[in-house]
Amino acid sequence: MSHLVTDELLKQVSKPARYLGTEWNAVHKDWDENPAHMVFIYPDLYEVGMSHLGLAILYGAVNEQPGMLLERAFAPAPDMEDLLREKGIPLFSLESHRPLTDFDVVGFTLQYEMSYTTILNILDLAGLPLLAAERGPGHPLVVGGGPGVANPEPVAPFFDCFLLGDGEEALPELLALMGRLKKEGWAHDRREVLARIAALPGFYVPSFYDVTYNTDGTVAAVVPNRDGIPARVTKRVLPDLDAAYFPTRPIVPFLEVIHDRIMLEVMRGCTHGCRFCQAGAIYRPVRERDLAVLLGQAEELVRHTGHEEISLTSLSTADYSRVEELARTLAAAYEDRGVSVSLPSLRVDAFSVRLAEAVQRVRKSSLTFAPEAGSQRLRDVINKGVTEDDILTATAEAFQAGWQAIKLYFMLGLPTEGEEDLLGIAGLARRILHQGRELAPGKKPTVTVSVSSFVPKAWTAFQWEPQDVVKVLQEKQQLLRSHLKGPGLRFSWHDARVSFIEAVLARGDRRLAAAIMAAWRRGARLEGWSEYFRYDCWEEAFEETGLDPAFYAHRQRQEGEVFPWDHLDFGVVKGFLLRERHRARAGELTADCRSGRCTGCGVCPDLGVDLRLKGGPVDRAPAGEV
Amino acid sequence: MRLRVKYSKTGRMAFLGHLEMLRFWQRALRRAGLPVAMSHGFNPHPRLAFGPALALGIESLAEYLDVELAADWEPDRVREELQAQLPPGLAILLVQVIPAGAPALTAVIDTAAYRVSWLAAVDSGLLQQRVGSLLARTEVPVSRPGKDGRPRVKDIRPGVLELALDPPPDLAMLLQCSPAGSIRPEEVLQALDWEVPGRITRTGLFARRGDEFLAPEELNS
Ligand code: SF4
Repeated sequence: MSHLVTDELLKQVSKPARYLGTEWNAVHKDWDENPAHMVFIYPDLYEVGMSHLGLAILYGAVNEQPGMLLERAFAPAPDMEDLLREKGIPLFSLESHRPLTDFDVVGFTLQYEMSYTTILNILDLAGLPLLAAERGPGHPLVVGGGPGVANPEPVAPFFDCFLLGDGEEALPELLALMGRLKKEGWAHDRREVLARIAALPGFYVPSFYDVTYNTDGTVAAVVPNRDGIPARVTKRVLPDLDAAYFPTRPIVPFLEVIHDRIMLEVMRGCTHGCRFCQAGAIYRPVRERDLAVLLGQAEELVRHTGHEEISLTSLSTADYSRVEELARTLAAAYEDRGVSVSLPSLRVDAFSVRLAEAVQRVRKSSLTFAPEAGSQRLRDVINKGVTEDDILTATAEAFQAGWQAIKLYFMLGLPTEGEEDLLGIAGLARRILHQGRELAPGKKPTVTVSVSSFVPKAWTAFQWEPQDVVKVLQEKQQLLRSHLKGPGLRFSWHDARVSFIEAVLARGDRRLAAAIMAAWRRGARLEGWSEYFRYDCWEEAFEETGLDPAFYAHRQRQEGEVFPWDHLDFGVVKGFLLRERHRARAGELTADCRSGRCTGCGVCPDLGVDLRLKGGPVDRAPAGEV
Repeated sequence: MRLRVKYSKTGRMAFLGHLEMLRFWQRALRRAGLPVAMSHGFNPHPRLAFGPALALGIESLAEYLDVELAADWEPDRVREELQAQLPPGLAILLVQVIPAGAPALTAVIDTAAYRVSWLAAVDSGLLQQRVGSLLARTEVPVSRPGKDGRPRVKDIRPGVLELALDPPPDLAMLLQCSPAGSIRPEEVLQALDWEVPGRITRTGLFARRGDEFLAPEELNS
């Protein structure tokens, strides 16, 4: 169908470069010589998906193995979708322009809840039955991975299996198995295939588990319905990133994508222990890469991509124990080649700002910090480990270094939040603006406050907490807005209704699949984009399916409650999260285990791994208890 | 040193727009390790200059790029290193040293040649007839969107320099292509009232010198 794509479709859509598949470093492997075929789908537009490091890693990790190939697909833009539907052409992979149904495995990364309707749209555009139970011998397996697998239950009925945790070893294992099963002639027997997959560590086959519910609607139990299926599935974890595959020939997009630069992954995981943060929990433990390994990878990346910027990525790059050495060495090494170094996530402290100042020769327009909460009390509740002093020294450093625009991220609706916490946000913004005017006289400093709404997530200390109702969140936004008027102050906020739907899905159970399907049928898709988000689709979907969204988003959960994701094991133990919940209520800080003081989250003993810190333990954390 | 690079852009690459090509070349040149001269000023950028833009979806056998190097490289070496950094669909045809003061591509190119090959069967006789009658007219108005988006009527006849079935049933066109005005091959098809789907290829760019049409690589020899 390759000619069909180039001759019929590409001439009629905007940005056809999204669909070419011939970017530099794209891999076109021989279809017949490599019998196991997978297509990796990022369920959003090309520009978003191509900014995702996970895709680059898995693309390379699979394609470097003989006998298997991995191609890419993304959500088509609405104009392409209309054209595909009008002409009855199925959605295709980028490299070989084949229909998705030609592949043995169709894999989706679950990056955010608001992509779930897009996943259904893609399955539909591919001509695949949406429900796993309705797919037959000739259909590809539909696999999910990524952070959404922390609680995949709302989408479980659409998937044949999920992969928990790191994928660079697990995914080639899955494809090697598929290759063997195809050769042995088993590939048509779906249940046999799934049983064999369920025997691989880290793979979860939802149809092999039955969910029962209590009369109050909560989950009673999730138990295997078949012999030999583990009661809990444990995530995969790479103990040593230095030995792990890392792509040094990533695809260089033709189009300008959101993160259009080299992504050098300095470490995986985060030890801060912010109590709202799911990524900080499910990617534990921290595993740093060796400085020499990173310098070698950077050199190859520069040579093979021609990019003009190296971004040091991780959940919290300033924490990497040799970040200063790394950043300075890279900046000096590539200066005359016109390649710059950037730090995407700054910690709220002077060290981060000085580091950014040292390596970023081009002053980006603004510097961003995330204090998350406006008062010390609430920052202690969430274990942010940042004081007002830290914030003001960081911003002072920034103004003195020549930055004039400061952006601050906060979350509204955090547990125990009151009016004084909200006013604290406005107060802090004004103090920073005042500081900027004193430190940079004659300039026009600006402070932008950007607020999102708190979404309680699985695997966090706040997984028991209710979310504020939409009306309350909107009132809080209004209150802040009225306090952040005046020259030099800017305010931006996210649609609280989107956060509400996220909250419903983030801690939902399998019954919600019906609502996702109903919302998609009504036209919901590409909902990560505010212009495409349609709340009415969801309102009607809940109405039609009789599911109460408040039950999922607004209910205070009991401490003894069985959660829909309790049969999955990301290493962090529930007892630790419960303890963290109580410490949050008491306003007690918990130390960062990077300090060398293990706080007992359970990951290391559970998964048989260790923290890997290249510079040894550093105690930069506030004086929290262990 | 200043170099003129001639390249082809075919297959899926025909769907890359001007901005995407600019970004692509910047990165390919960096990968190839070419010492591209940078412009001075606040935001330095590599000194690259292109010929007239090509509409999205049209293949080309004659695209041009002028690049200035900060050090002298043999044209053969440039060709080799650069070709190694190009995906299928982009091929270097020629690398030529040009004088530092040579006028820019967009200042000299005024004519473009196109070929249309058909994706379905065509009646050559009928097409020949339509071509003949178009050439016999003194005015050929077509409507094209104006700057404000509203259609304008434009006479394309003076800009159609040659039109022939060559080799039949392919249609060859020589059209005006300059800052003063450009005729699009689709506009000629529209004027011919010819609806058979075709694949359009730009086969050459030229500077008119009296009765002669010189390719950019022939200008500086
Ligand atoms: S087990 Fe201890 S050292 Fe390991 S990640 Fe958890 S808190 Fe940190």
